[in-house]
Amino acid sequence: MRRCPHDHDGIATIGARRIYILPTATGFAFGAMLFATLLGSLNYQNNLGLFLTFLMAGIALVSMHHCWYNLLGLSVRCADAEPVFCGRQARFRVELWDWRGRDHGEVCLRGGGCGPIPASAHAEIDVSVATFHRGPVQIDELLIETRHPLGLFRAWAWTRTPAQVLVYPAPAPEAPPPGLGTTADHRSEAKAEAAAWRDSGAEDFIGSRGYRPGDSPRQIDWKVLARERGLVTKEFAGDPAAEVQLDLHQHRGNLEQRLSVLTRQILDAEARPLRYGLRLGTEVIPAGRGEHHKRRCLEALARYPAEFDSAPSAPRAA
Amino acid sequence: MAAQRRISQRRDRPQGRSYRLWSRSHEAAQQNRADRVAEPPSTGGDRYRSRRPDAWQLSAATALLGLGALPLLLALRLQVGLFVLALLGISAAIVRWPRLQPNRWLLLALTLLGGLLVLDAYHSLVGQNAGSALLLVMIALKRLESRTVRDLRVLMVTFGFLLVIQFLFGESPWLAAWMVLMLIGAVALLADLSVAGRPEHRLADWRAAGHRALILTAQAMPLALVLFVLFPRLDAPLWDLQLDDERGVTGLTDSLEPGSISELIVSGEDAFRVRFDSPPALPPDAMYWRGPVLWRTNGQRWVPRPEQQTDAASAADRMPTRTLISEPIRYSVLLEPTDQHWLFALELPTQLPDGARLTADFQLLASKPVTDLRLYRASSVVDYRMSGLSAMDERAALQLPSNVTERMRALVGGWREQSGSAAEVVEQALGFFNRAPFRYTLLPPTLGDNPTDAFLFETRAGFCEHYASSFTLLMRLAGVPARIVLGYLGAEYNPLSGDYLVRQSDAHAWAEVWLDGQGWVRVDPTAAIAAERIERELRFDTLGRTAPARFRIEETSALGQLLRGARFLADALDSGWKNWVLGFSSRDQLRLLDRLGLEALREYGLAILMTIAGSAVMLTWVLVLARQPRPRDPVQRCWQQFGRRLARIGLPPERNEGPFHYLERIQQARPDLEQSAAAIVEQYLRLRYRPTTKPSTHRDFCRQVRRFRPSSRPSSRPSSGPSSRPGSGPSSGPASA
Repeated sequence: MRRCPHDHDGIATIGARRIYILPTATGFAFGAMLFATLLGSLNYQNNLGLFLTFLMAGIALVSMHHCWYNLLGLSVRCADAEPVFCGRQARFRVELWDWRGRDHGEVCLRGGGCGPIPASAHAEIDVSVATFHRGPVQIDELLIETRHPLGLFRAWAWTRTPAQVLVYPAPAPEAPPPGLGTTADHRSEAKAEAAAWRDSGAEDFIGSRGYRPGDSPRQIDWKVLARERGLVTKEFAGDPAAEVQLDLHQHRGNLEQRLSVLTRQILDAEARPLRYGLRLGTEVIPAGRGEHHKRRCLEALARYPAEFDSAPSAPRAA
Repeated sequence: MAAQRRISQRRDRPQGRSYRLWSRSHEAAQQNRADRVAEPPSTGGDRYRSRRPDAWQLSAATALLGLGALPLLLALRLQVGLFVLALLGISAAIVRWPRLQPNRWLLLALTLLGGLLVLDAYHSLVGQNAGSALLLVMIALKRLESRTVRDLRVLMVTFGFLLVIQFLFGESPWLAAWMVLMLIGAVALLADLSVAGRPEHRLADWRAAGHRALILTAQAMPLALVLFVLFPRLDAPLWDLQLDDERGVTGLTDSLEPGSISELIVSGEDAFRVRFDSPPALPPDAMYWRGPVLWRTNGQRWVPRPEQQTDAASAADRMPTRTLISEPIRYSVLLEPTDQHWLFALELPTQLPDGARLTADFQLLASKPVTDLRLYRASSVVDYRMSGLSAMDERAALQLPSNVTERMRALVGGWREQSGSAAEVVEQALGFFNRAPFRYTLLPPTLGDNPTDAFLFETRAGFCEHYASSFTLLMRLAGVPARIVLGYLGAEYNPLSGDYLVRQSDAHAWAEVWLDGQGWVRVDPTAAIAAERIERELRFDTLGRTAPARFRIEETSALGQLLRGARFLADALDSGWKNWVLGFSSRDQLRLLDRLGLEALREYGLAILMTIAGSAVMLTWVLVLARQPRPRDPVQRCWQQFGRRLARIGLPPERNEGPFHYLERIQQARPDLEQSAAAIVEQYLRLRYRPTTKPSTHRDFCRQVRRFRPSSRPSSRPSSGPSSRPGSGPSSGPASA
């Protein structure tokens, strides 16, 4: 089927030869009913029945033209969708209008809602697209259909669109807490200790570091002091100073699983006030936090080259 | 949103156990997903299939069904009508109290009950009445069962069928108007049902749907008229389902017994209409429209001769030789359905209608019973002589019943003694009817086993059938061959339509006697009774219209005149309706072709004409639909014209550029146009964005635009490179072409 191409602004306008139209099931039933009444009225030479039959046939024919014209001349622009996690629905906002200012009846988008397009106004309809792969996904084409005015005919047109959405890896259901602090004076003992703390269920404990003046006495690890290992401060989540480095190679499993775990960790780290950095093979994102940083990390995860060369095909609007 | 969905699913859950299981697991899955990811509601294909209609749509469907089936409900048996109304009532109540919704088994039981009711009422499930009743019951049940939008759509489609079949029960213009109104209603409901995404129902939506239905119907009307006039008709049915099984048709029957005509006389229905080619020399009260001819009697009942004796093959041999004296009268008759073979004609038909034959006793018989309105042409001669009565006819015309009494013989014997010829015997008899105290009444006293004897000597009160039958019997007793003719007497002239209308109340019976030298001569014994002895019964006055034409007295009062005028107008409209709408046939179509000079093409000509005219109509609508709205603002209009002029040379305005950028592009592509375009753009900007008081300025602007005629090739200025060729600019994107 021919698609309506889009111009350099991403606007596709539905032309006359790109509109397809077929009767709906109701339309076919209506046709069968007309055939029956036509035969009956002809056979019994019932002129009034014949006239009513012709009137109904005329209504159906005229409605067919209305249906077709309801798509003609529509301009469609689809904006890029906000990034979503894989498995969720990406939501594209589609803008529809008639540049010439004709009034249009209700138009529906596959995977989205319906709405009329008043003369010289823009209608906005959201289209939800299911996502199956991480990475940038282009939706390529939109199906615009209408059953205006009677539902006897369905006209549709495919339009090309450059709109795309970045799909983040799906966050793993659970992941180990974001890695240990990588501060300058970290010690391997403290790491072990921290592991012990972690195992004992102290969720908020992140690690320990050397004492700095001003640290609260409550955070000082007194047991370590008792073993005469000097002043060590325990770090808890919520401490803005905490910093973790996430690494793709920390984890086991195939690439996608590891990316999923990292995604979960990034979300977790963002939920706790942790500064986090990300290392993906050669690409390193220095530690940071905040919405912008999170996006940058997730984007890096989304765009990380796939292990196998199974190029994800672009899903159509579903 | 997800929660709402779950609730609605719970409500729709079907009855069966397996369904419930499925539904629950589905629900659980839904819930599971909903907890984790806030899913937007999936609006897929089910948007059209399982969408629920709202209460307004359901109520509207019920109301439409009730109103649309009203004429049919009145025509059907009471129990069926009540059942249908009850079903519709329940359907209406369910909208308010959804708990009343019957389950599958109850619906099945109701369906069976409906079928049984129809079977009980009509002893059949097919045929016109039973079939229509069954259809109506099923449609009402479908309404009861309807829950989704799809159900309602199917309902509206079958509703169209229901509208059409009601024309089997009546063909009045009021019914037609009502049906068209109902059709518009159904279209409005379909239009409303086709709207998928709507937050809530508002009054404005109904108005929009009604508006759309009216527009569609109005646009369909020309096409319907073209098809109606030009769609080739069938001359004969393809098949016959005996649809007319129970339609009560009033009209003459082929036998005469006491009471058979008096029923007709009180019926105000139309029998037929006549249009004479030229004004007839005949006064209306001398128009005897001949129908069946009765020969045989058993003393109570008169019947025609068996068909084989009047067979067409031998008819020509036995027909008396005719000498026509007067000029033939030519006329067309539009006959209401009679379910009988006779076609009515004046006196002696000379030119026969198509598909009809003349019997030996001058009955005009159609080859098939007249079950629909029938238009035929005939010509008749009212003055003629005949000779040569065959022996068989003479025997039949002298047949006597067994219950002839002595009184009758004595009466006739007296006449025979006093007169020398058959004509004189007739005179004697008519004199007897005139002098004896015979009364004309539509309510005669009951007569015994021998009605003729009792009528002649005892009651002496009756109407045409009594007079005709006793007169004929007396003639036969006197040895004069005689027979009874049934038909209509008189006609009412309508000055508006130029038609003569003959009503059932004009039904009449008279006698024909054979007089040597003259042939069969009409004798109307009813006319012989003294005028003052005609009882003008009350109902003639009150029903006005039903009074037989022969008794109608000219209205003198102003009100009476007015009423009469109104009646004539109604009759003229009615006659036009019957002639041009109900009676429109292939004959009229061929006549139309004839006028257009296409008669040689016959049906093909019709088909070609229909295609051409239909396409022309549709093309008109295509142009109307494609029409672009013109901006109100004159400045804007002229600005658009400027854009169109430039589009012709490949520089249409882009949607996303303002006048400045447009001008820039024009300058880039066509430097030769720079000055004139700049002037126009500047003027436009001034008019648009700087308030002006002078109305003449926009006229100037428009004149400027009109003078702007860019040629498709740049004028000799060589400054432009290849990029300045028309059509190669960035503007020529396919979308904006």
